[in-house]
Amino acid sequence: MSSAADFQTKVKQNWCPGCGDYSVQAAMQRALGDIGLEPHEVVIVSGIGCSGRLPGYMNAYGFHSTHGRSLPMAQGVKMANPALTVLACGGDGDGFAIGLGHTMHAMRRNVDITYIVMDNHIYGLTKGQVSPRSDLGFKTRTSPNGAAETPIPALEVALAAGAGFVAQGFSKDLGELAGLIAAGVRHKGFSFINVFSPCVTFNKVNTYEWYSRRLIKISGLAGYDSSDRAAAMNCVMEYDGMVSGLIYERK
Amino acid sequence: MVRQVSWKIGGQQGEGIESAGELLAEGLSHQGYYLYGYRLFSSRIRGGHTNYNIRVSLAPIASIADNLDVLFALDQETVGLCAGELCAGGLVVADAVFLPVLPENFQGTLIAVPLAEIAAQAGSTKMKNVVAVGMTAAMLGLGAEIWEEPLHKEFGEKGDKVLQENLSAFRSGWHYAMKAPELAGRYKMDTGDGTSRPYIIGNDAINAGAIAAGARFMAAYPITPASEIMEAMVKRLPELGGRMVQAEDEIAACMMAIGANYAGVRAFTATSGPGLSLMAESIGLAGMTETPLVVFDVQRGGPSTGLPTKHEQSDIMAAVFSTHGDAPKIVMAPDSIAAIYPDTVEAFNLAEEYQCPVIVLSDMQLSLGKQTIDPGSETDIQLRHGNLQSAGDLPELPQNQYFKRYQITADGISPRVIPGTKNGIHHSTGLEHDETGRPFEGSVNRVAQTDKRHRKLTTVQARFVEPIRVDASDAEAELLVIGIGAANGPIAEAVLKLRQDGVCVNHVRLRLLQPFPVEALEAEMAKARKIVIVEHNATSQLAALIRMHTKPAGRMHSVLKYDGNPFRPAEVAAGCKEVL
Repeated sequence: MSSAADFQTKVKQNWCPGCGDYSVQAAMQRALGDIGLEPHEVVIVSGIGCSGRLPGYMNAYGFHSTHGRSLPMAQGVKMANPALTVLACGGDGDGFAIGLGHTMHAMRRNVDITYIVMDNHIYGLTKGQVSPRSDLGFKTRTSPNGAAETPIPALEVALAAGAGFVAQGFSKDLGELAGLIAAGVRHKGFSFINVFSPCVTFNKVNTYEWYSRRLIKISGLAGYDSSDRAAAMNCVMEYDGMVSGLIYERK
Repeated sequence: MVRQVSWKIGGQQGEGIESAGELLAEGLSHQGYYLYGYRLFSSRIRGGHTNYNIRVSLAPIASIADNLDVLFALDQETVGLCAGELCAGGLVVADAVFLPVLPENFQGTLIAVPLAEIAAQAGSTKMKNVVAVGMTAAMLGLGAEIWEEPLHKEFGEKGDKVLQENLSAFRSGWHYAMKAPELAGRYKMDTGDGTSRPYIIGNDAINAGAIAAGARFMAAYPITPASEIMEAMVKRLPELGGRMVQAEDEIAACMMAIGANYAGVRAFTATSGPGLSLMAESIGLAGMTETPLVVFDVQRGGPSTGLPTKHEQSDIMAAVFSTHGDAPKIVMAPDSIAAIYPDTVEAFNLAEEYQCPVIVLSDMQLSLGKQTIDPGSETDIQLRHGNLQSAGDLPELPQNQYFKRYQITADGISPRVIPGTKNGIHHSTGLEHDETGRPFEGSVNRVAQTDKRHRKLTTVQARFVEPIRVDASDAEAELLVIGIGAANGPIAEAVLKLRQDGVCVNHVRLRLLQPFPVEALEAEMAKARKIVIVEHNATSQLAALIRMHTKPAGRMHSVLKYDGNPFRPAEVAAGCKEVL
């Protein structure tokens, strides 16, 4: 049996101190260890961005591909060898700007992979441009007058596109996130996990505190049925996407 | 007695033009005749002119003919569009129903025949195409019974009524022509050699080659003229435990193929120019991460959407150069339909051995042109996997260390392991990286890894089966003709004709474009006083590539065609004579 330690390397991450991505990496290691997978049975495919570096910090087969293309690559890996456990990861630019087409098609194709988006509402690696997840009016180097376009509603898109597993985590809650990742890996079919993973350097608005004040735990909602897609959509719309936990799993 | 006949049938799309040609070919290909078929079609499904040209010969052919001998016209538009292709003394056989007239100043003969009327008597005017084929059989001096089996094959599944009606339509057409002195036996040919030959398009050969090579995964996006490949693979691959996936676009298709190759399954994609443009980024990733990948590019008329259903060879530069950066890559170009099968197998071998993308350049004429293939020309298949390590070969990795997947080696080829292999864990990235695959920008490492990625390709030429294929009867020639892809068919015929006219001419088929076979080609170029490069594009892409690699020759000329139609042998011969 393996443990989280088996998925660790001694490589020092090039993320800024305080970056939310550290927690995502740790949660992924914990989840894979909890499931008891051997590192050589796991493939992690990423796109481009700060978050895209994650596979390089894991003791597992890692493939750091091109911007927005982690999902087609990961699906190719899984379809070729279904015995492998395949995860894909990247940032919100990767999954909802350049790669949104692939994201929706991966959801409807339902290949058994787990897709983790590290969502920080900003382009960090290129030093602070507007993202498709930035809130309306959000000021960045490329939106000096405030973002003029409404953000992509990630969870609504996933539910509408037919994803069979939709969850949302937060870098501040490592335990919940590790549980969601493990559940996503165990789910047979495509799993989507959006993670609020704050950029402490370029996003001074959507901070840990900002999310903490707004996020509602879905487990605390009385009578919530995560197998009810319509209820999931209603909940996500009612709380404007500010919910964490397992939002929907097709039974 | 004639040795060859060029026949064409034309009408509106949806009138059974293609099936008429297929029916004619099905009969002839089992009688030992060599066939070359080429269809003209457009980007619409019903309506619009279409035609199917079949050349019947007693000798192998890989080109359309210089002129048509006989044109079957189902409408006046066909007469207007195609009569000009007829040879002196050529024949237009047109349906009397539309009161056909010959274009002004046209010297050939027009014979109006009751195609629709005979078809109606047999059951439906729709069968006028079958009547036309029946007449053709009589004109070739062949018995109607030869087509009994093809007709059963074509219509047997559609019920007895349909079958009997079509048999009747065919026989009635045959009898009509047998009684018409100007038609019966007009193009009587010597008996064929009796050999039954498969009549296939180039894309069929790609399919067979990919299967034989052990490819078990394909991802693609529909595009003319490459879609036949995914349509065949979606049936064939699941039977072999594999899979064809129709991706959301060509970027995804290429990335899926890279993912599958990375996971250890031979995988490929097939596309045309617009798709190749979209794949450029992914091809660079395969180069940088040293992942095997095979991409078939069936070229069509460009740029942009260009001429989607017409022939061209204008992706040569795109195939060789389109990816940004110094990406290692192999680009090959099969020189005939017969070469596609072994070359396809070789593409998969090279991709694995050299751990890089291999682009196989086909073109519309090569991929959709239909030709009888001599049986037994398939070479023995060998699958080579290169430096692929299995778990048993690998020593235990120290805790938390990666396998040296990108190890600097003398021949530039590093040990490859696939995910799932114990003690083989490593990283792969489009970033510059060290021997374990970790991102690393150090300048010494950068140069060492770059050199490694290119050093490995230096042995490709020696291993490649005939980077150039030479038909050089003379050590000193007046002329050397160089061609690529389907253009080699008409070139070969033009060369024969020039030799008959006393010209001392050699022919080189260029089959490997990257890495470029410099020495082999220079040796052939040195034998000739003048050089003509024949290609289907406006900007002499092949000539430019040759100039870039070879010693300045200063005597190179281009014969170009970019109107969407394949070369005729006489056009190539005329272009060569102009240079002489």
